[in-house]
Amino acid sequence: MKKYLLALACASIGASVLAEEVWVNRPALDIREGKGAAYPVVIAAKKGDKLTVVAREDKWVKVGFNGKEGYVFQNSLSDKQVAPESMSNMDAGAKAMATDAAAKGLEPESLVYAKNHNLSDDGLERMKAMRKLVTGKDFEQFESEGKVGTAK
Amino acid sequence: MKYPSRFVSTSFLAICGLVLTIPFNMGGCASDGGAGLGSIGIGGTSVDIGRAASGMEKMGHSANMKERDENVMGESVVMAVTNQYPLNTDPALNKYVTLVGLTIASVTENPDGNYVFGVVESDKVNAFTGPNGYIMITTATLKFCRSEAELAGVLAHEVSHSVHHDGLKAAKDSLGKAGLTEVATSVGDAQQFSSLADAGVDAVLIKGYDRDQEIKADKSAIKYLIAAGYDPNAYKTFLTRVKDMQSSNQAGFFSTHPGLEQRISAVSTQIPQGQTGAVLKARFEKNVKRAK
Repeated sequence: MKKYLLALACASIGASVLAEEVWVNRPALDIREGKGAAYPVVIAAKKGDKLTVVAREDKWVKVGFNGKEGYVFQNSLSDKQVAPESMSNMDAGAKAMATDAAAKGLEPESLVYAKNHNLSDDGLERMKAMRKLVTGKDFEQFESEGKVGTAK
Repeated sequence: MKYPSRFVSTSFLAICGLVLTIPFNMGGCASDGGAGLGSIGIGGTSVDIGRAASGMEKMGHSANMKERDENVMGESVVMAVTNQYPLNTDPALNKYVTLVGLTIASVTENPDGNYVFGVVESDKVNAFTGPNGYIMITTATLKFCRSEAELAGVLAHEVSHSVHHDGLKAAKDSLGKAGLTEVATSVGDAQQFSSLADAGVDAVLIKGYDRDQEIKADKSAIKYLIAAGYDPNAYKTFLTRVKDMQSSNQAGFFSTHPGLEQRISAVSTQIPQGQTGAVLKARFEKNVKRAK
């Protein structure tokens, strides 16, 4: 029994030691269901977040983050630790605006821009919403039917 | 119309500048005659870059312009455009354009980037590219195209501008000329950063892209079309028809655009002899004619 537990512990330690870790090196990174921008986002990561490499497939990396897995392009990652972007100096107004923007899926500064110029953000919101109507399956079918893209 | 009257005039010129630059014109046509860098007018507000720079100096932190800044500028460009030209609300049409665009994006150097495509209502043959993958094409452009390969060519040109960060470069160039090379990027500086978003939008919409960027975008477009399996000759055909329209001044819109002949010539030399590919006229007509 002791040998079994020892082996289990060693295997566990070995696995954690061997697990390759990488860091997000761009301000925002969408981890997607498939290999490409057409696929839905599984989870979003931000600069400095640490991801676990699950597999490497050509120039794509399957990563784990916060209990979820998905694909990112290798250029978005660093094998060295990356410092996160500081947001410590937000005042109350900026925090409120950031929360509002996050709910809309927009950048806080963009809302300020809209407010300053009396612009509606409806077009932007609707454009982003329509983008989400395209699924990975739609994309694969589209490429396959036209024999274009990766299906050429 | 949500714009104050001042925006309508300034921005009309601004958007024309972009239109003339992307993708039909050699870049820079509007740069010399565009708004001055000292005080930029867009969206009804004049932004004094010198004052913005001073504000930046007072803050304890700053960083080089980067991707997040591109996203802010990209979103700002979308708002500037869609407040002038309403977003087409046909989900099927927008979906089709998005699928063509994503097919091109998938073969670029940045296949997992942020790409958001949209169709805007306008009777002008235009396309708009904001930083970080925000690409809009007008309904008139869709009507002007004759096949999916032609549409793919236009979108490939636009995607190239995004992949090569041309919008950010144009903004940095403008800011550099104004003596401002660094900007604040913290969310806490949203108000100040918004002022700089003006400069970004202005750089993209008024100054447009320079000749080298346009040539490079054409070159990349041909590369992407071939990689995606589309017939690159379709893009050449499209540009030639634009030139013909310019010559006959059919639309009265392309009358002062130099360099199109040079672009067509450059595109021609880049297409390998005998190169063909998918044209997909029937699929294009099925998806676009329906919406016409």
